[in-house]
Amino acid sequence: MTTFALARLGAPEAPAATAPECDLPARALRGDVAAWNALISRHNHRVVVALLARGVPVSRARDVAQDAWLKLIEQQRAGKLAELRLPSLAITQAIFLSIDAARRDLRERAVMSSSPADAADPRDLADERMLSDERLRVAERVLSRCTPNARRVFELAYAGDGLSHAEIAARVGLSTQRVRQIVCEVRKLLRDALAGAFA
Amino acid sequence: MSAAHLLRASLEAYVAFELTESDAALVEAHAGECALCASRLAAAARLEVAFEAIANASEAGRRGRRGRSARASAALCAGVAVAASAMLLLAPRSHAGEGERTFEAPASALADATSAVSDSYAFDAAAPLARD
Ligand SMILES: [Zn+2]
Repeated sequence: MTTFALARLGAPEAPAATAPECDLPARALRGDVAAWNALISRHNHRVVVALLARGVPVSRARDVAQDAWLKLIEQQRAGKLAELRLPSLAITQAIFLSIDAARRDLRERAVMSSSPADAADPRDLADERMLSDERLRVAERVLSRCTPNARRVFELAYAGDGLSHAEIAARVGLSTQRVRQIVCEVRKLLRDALAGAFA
Repeated sequence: MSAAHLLRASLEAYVAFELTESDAALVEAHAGECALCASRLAAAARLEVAFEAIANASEAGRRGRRGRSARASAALCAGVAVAASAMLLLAPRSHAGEGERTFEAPASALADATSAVSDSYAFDAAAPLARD
């Protein structure tokens, strides 16, 4: 029986870091279990955080993320997955499942009671926009004051593939410790500049 | 732990995937039962997702700038000072190494960007998960 790495993954420097990222989606699309495990290890936490950001309770977020991965694997096995852009595809799938669950909740509450006031609104879950243009401009001003290397480190940590600190260190020629420090500093600057927007 | 609320640093470390498995489990267990910490965890997650949007926009902007630089240098290629100009436009900045600065400007110059700070706090991944 095939086992996927769907349990919580521990430290940030996950074992998946050793697999070449560019090969993984192609291998997963061919049904390679090890590639799926590596992709899940790498991206699952971002799926969970995306759900938390949309108000999905932490107790449920992990299960929904797990279901999303299983759906993707099912689709791949059924030959319905032409490409695998991660983590966005897994996040979209997870949000879709959450919306579905929230709608079911609403229907059940409507049956049970005439005032479903505390049910989650599926439209909130679908809201992709986490940052206004104004906040984005504030963030851009902060980043424009960082050195090119610091900015690149931040991009590598948060954009696209979501590399581990060790992978970023290897790519930019700094120590893992220094990368961690830079990510921390840029994050603090951005958080301070955006204070209040996410309280 | 159950009587105290989670530290914000712990919530941020959780969403940044910087906690050990056991510490993450403690955060999940507490946030699963405490509405206040659950809402703070959601806020920390929103900020983390915003960082992703910021990084994607930054990367897209840099790619755009690089594209414009490439087009500009292609135009210069028609002239006499081709090589020198292209070098000036396209040469990457030198890596300053381990001791390099993170920021171009002195801290005071960041004042305008960070004037909206209302509630700043120190990030400390090694901080205890909860206050007694
Ligand atoms: Zn609490």
